[in-house]
Amino acid sequence: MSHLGEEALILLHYGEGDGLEADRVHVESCLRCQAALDALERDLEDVGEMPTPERGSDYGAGVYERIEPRLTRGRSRWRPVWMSAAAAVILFGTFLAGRFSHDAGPSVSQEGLRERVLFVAIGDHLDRSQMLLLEVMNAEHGDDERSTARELLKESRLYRASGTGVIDVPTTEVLDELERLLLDVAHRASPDDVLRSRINDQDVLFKIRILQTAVRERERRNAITDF
Amino acid sequence: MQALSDDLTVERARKGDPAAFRSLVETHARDVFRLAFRMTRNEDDAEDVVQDTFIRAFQRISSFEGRAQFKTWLYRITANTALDLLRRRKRAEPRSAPLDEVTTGVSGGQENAVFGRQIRERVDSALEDLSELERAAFVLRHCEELSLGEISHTLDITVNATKQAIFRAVRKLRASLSTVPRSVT
Repeated sequence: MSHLGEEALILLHYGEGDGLEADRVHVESCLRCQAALDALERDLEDVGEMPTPERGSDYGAGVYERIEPRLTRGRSRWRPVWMSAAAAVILFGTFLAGRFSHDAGPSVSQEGLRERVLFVAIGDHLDRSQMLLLEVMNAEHGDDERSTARELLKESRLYRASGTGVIDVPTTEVLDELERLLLDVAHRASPDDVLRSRINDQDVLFKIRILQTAVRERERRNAITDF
Repeated sequence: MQALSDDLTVERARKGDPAAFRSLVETHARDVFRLAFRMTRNEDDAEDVVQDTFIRAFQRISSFEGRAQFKTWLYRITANTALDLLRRRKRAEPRSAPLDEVTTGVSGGQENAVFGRQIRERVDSALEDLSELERAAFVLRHCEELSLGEISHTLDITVNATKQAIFRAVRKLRASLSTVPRSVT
């Protein structure tokens, strides 16, 4: 039997591989391979177990306490599709009302209402898009995801059409980028791994989070001005 | 109180029982933290990964079909969450100070500690130089002792790709360690 290469030795060290038993027998009778295995094991011992900071037995309870508000919010914001569609219809109605009353000059409250509805709807749209992309990142996407992507795509186009002059450039850019991905998911234009690479390479989830924060801040400011 | 089995707890969590989901978090949080820390090498990042992992798990638990063990499924989410974070970090932040700068100025009486620290720093530096996939595969095999099949499932790659990632990781780590003296005479 010829000597074992590094790859075979690595598999042997970890107890993996098809010819494990034969390799083990060979190493026991071969000084050269024994020395090579010893050197490998010494190096891997130096790598060690990568010690981690201690966490007490109540750590899990603490983690749950920290995430619980986000779980509740996530569940309540994860509205059925028909509710988002209803929001889109209301938004479009508000938009049309704004247009047809233009001769009389748009009142501040009308513009304010339009902007408010728009940003609440965009916030909801971002939440749902984020969840969809997380699904895509963590599992193969199927008919449900494609159907959700198509819905989100329609909504996004409506928000952008309704938001002319209200939505700023950075928000438009993120929505553009998101639309291209939604289009890809809806039509399964790219293999899952290519899609995941695009989501990662373009930092899409990160950009969505940033935008969500900005939108929520805007919602909060709008709520404060109500009082 | 007798602990509920994972399967039963998962089933209740899938049906929307918050107490069951809480129980899963309490049972698995330390394991998730350990894996997250080993992949990110940073305590704050690991804490972020833990929280994001359980939020993702909560959002997806209704689609968990029980074909894999819950812990493997959770590890899969943890690994992907950590990979997301590492990829963002890699682009956003400059590398840490080179080893030579870190070790300058250590006195002669502390050679063994210095060599131990040098090895640790070489390992840390080499781990940073691994691709995210190599690091994930290596950590899952070397530290978490998952089988090649389990790692392949966790990272959604073939068994052969898993092997190759581990081989490359070990090769790079060994190359990095080869420049450090092992003992003081």
